[in-house]
Amino acid sequence: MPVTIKLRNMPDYSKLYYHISNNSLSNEEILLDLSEHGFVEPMQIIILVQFIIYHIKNNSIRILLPSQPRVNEYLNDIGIIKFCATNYNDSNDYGPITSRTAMKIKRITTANMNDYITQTQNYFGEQCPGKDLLLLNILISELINNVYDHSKSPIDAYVFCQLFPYFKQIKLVVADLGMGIPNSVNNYLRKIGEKEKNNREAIEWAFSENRSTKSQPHNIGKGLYLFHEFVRNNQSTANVYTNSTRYSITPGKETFGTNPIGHFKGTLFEILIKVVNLPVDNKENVDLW
Amino acid sequence: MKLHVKDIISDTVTNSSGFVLLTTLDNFLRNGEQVELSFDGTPGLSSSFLNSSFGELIEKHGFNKIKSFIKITGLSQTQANYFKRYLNTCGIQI
Repeated sequence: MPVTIKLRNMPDYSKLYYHISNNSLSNEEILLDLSEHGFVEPMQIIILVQFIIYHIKNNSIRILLPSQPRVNEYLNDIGIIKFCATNYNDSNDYGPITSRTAMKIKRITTANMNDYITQTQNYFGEQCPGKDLLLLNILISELINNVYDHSKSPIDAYVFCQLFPYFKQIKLVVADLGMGIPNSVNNYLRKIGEKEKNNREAIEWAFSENRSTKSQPHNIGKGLYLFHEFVRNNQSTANVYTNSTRYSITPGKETFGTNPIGHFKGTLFEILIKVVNLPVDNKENVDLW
Repeated sequence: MKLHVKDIISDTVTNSSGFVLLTTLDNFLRNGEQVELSFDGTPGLSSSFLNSSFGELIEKHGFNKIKSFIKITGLSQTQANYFKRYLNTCGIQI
């Protein structure tokens, strides 16, 4: 009998993290039951992908697809099943899924990061005429670099990016199954003999200017600070799920709360970028000084 | 001498590319040669890349020397803004 994991809504995704955190499904047959699942959010897609990739080497995984045709069709269009099946021989095809104005789900390493980012910038640039998509490029590279510099994720970083043309918004999700920001910060503080911080203080520390858990000059950690600055300046919205905390940045307000997804492992950034607030595409080149 | 970033490195977002650029520019600085560095045709930038290249160069040679010997050209307006913002976080105002 397979271990059946029924997923209907966001709270159910705690079940996936429970099994990842406890490593409780070695060599089991797994049935992911999505039959009663409603609309699938980009962050749910990435969590599903991480769960499947984490277990794909040692487990047989079957998916019971959603009964709602529109949800089923969406999952099929974005290629989640195909992606997970071919992950370990993933192709270098970074092309868009034009029917969904989305980029393909990708496992990103530092080796393929530039290709993915460039193609994402080019595709969304075509979809958002007159807008400079460089900031999207920068945002993705900051978050991916952050995974490789700090998280020690066992399965690399995963990215999904979709444009919602009607709302003129781009949703970007970047996730890993690493140690999480508070643990990374506290490991560093222990190493330098400083007092540890609680989750909130550690996250605030990580997003502050010139703070990093790496002491080498080339990793002096301006990435999360610049990410934070971009989100505020663009009047975007971001949720950062890390360990047991959710840090939310909305225009004019920042809040810390309990992560609604139990047993959470790693870090997940979910950003909603307002296309209308991106800079105008200016072809003119300039000198720095 | 004029150097094109895209002829030296394959991207402007990773630490590893930053290190390659650092080595190239460090050679010019050590020899006291002035250089124009064009970013024309490069699509992105990241703080990791800038930390590994210009962050290291500034640590080693100081900003005033960098500014005197390296002229940085061919940036898009958004790239230039991001580069300046990065330098601000290093305590440098342009």
